[in-house]
Amino acid sequence: MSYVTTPDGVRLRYRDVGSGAEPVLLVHGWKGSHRLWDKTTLALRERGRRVVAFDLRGMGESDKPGSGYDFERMAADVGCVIEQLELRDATLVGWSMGVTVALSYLHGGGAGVARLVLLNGPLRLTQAPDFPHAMPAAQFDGYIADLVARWPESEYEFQQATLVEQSRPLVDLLYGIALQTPLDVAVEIVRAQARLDLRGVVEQLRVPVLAAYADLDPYYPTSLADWIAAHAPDGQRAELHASAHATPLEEPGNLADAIERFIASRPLQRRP
Amino acid sequence: MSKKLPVIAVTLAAAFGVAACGSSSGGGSTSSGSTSAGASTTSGGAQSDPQKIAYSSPVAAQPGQRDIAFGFQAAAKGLGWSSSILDANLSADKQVSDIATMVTQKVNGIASWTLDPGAAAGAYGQAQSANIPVIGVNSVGTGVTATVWWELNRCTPDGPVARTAQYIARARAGARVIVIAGPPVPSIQAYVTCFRAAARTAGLNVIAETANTRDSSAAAQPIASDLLTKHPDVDAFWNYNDASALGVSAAIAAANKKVYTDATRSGIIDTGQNGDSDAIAAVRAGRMTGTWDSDPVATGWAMTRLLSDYIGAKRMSSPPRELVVRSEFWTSSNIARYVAPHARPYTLENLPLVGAAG
Repeated sequence: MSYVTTPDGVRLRYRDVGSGAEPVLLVHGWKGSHRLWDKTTLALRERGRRVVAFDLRGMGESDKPGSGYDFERMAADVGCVIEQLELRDATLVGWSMGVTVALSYLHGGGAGVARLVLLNGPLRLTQAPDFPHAMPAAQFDGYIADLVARWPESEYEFQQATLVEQSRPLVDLLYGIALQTPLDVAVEIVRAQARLDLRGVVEQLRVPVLAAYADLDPYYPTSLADWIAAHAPDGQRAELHASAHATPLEEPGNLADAIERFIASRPLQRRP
Repeated sequence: MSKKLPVIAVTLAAAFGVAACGSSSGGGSTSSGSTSAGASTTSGGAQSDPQKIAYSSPVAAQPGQRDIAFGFQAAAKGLGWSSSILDANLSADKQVSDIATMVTQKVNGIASWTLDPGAAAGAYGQAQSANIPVIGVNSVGTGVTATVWWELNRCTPDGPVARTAQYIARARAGARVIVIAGPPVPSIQAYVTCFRAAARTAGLNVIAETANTRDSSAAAQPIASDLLTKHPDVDAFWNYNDASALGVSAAIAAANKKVYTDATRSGIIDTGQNGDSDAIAAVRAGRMTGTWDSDPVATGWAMTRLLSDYIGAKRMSSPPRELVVRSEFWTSSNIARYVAPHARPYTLENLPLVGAAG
């Protein structure tokens, strides 16, 4: 198995397949792993793309240190993967909480990234007076309390809701991967995420961004795609119609096509 | 990576101490020191208006009841109140005992889904004597101060049951309908009776009626298969719950027939109620025509809101005697708007109530 080691000694599990310039780097969401990208990886690879996917610290097959789960650190981990695997002009794809990680990385400079894809993820987890696309803070606390109180049963229900067609093998796959994240780590990460508001980061992006949202996603509405496309300096949107939250598993071909169209629409502009 | 991330309302105290990848620092992990209170928000009223409320759940393990408890407690937390759930576990005696316990513990307000109005009346009377309001959930009776209703449980000319009959009639005028009822308990019998009347009004032709007494999709499938053989020209199945509708769906597929959806407008209509997650998935996939969602999370919120009209800093001089939580019929036409119950962005001010601003 392949690992990148971060400066603080955390080993991050990754897969690096295919070859060629302008690779795609995939960042999974809360309690996910690189395995959730298997079908998307295959679809992109079939389209001639080099694809890298890795497990965020605390999740999947990466190390799980006792503390230190904040988004600056996870953003630094993205940089670590980009640097060690020598990725250049990459298209960074963040899904769900991976959106928060990807935007955090861009906020810190975004070295090696030429384009950004935000898939079914939040800009902030709770509502604001001028941002209705999320739940109230009190409800968020209740949601986490319920998740903890009824874990792991609650986890199974959470994963069921990410799918349009809740086939048992698919739910079991998601559930099994989610259980690789210790409960305390999951809670620490989501509470750190709840403190962030990344709208300003979108407004200051220096790379093109594609907001791809599934219209059957029960967690993140397509109005978020509208918001991103309207507020990013170079933003565009796409809707996916055959998936709920787990788009990379439910319609990998459509997702890969959307990513490839986006890359083709924003060719690299090199200075002479 | 040196910029600090934008945070909501609070500033993280810890400095970001991770060096860039491949640089010299190989030190151990530093503590993130996330000491802010930002993650555990409490509303401004938490200190000045502490109230203690409790819900007597008829059977706490049931998913809909869990959703009610979730909404009840989320709303209480938003008010800065404490809340608790007591599980009667389908025992009317246990529920009476639970209500008495709540009174002894001096809770400020009680919500209860009554199992046996006759048995509970005495305990509710004790609460009344102690000036503790009792909010009934889909329940009325002696000692109940006010009630939160599901719109689905109200048999009115323009209510959900009537609208289901009208939906079937719009799809197929004079449709031949099979009714799948449930166990012979009063609330289900009343629901089925309501549909029979609505079907007559809408000009539907009820050609058969049977009961899925085992209350599961597995049990409903062979029942529906037999009925499909006997009535191959059936236009619609009206089911008293989602489990039955899912069993009917499987029978329709096994008979090589199609389920009617708003998109295809052909096949056999198959409706349920509860808004169970597997029924929502079936509607999305075109395996069920529609399901009524009674919105248990909003119900929990409404229970706390109605209590806040009777107790605490926001109590009213003339509080309402009932709130009705709007039910939603999910079909392929609107399923794109569906939001998972626990992710619905409710507040006490924006609840989906019938005949009110919410």
